[in-house]
Amino acid sequence: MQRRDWIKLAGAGSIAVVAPNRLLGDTLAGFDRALSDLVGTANVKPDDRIELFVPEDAANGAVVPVGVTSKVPNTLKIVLLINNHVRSKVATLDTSNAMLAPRLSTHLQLESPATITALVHSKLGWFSNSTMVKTLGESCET
Amino acid sequence: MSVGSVSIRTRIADESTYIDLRISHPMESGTRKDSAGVVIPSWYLTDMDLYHNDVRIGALELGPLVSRNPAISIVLNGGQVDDIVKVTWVDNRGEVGESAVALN
Repeated sequence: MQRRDWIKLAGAGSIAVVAPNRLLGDTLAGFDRALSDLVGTANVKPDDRIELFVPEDAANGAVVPVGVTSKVPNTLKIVLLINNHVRSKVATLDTSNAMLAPRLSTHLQLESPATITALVHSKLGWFSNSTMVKTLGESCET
Repeated sequence: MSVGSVSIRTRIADESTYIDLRISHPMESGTRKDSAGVVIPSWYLTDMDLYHNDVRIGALELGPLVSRNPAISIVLNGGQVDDIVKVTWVDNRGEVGESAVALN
């Protein structure tokens, strides 16, 4: 999948869920910029070996649990992105040292439903998997 | 817990070491406003380094969308009782801190 196709796919999700008062251009540009900074012009291939654990319905937008495990061989880096924020990059774990397993769990503060993407960089290239948090029981304060 | 204090819990099982970090930090995204409508400046952790027996084994970059008082779980391949795990952090204000524990 070309980067522009992948962005289009992620953008389609965000158009459906972003609140009307959000600046779509800014948020998509944020996602695009983060992706471009990471992968340049490389292809990003969807890959189910990246397991992404995110609740479809989050009880509290201030603490949305997210976990990712990469079974892509020789995983060097895991990056978490969300689609609808100016600063789209959430976390980057450098797993190039064999002592560190390619797994990461944390919590995110989301103001609105979002598509969460895990990017994995390995010696074979870039891979991704995405999932949506569709509803938030209680948004974080704004 | 004061700002920047780090709680580290560890568990060795199945030839892996499970590490749960809890850092006391406001993680202000820079998009919230106070009661007067003034934007609260961003204040969030940006980088963490992970050490095993004084050898740097990994790095974690964080953005402002990580929740307040971040809970972060990672897994080491291997690890033995009495090995030392250390975490250092820096935030976007340039404040720094660190914490270390022996595996048990």
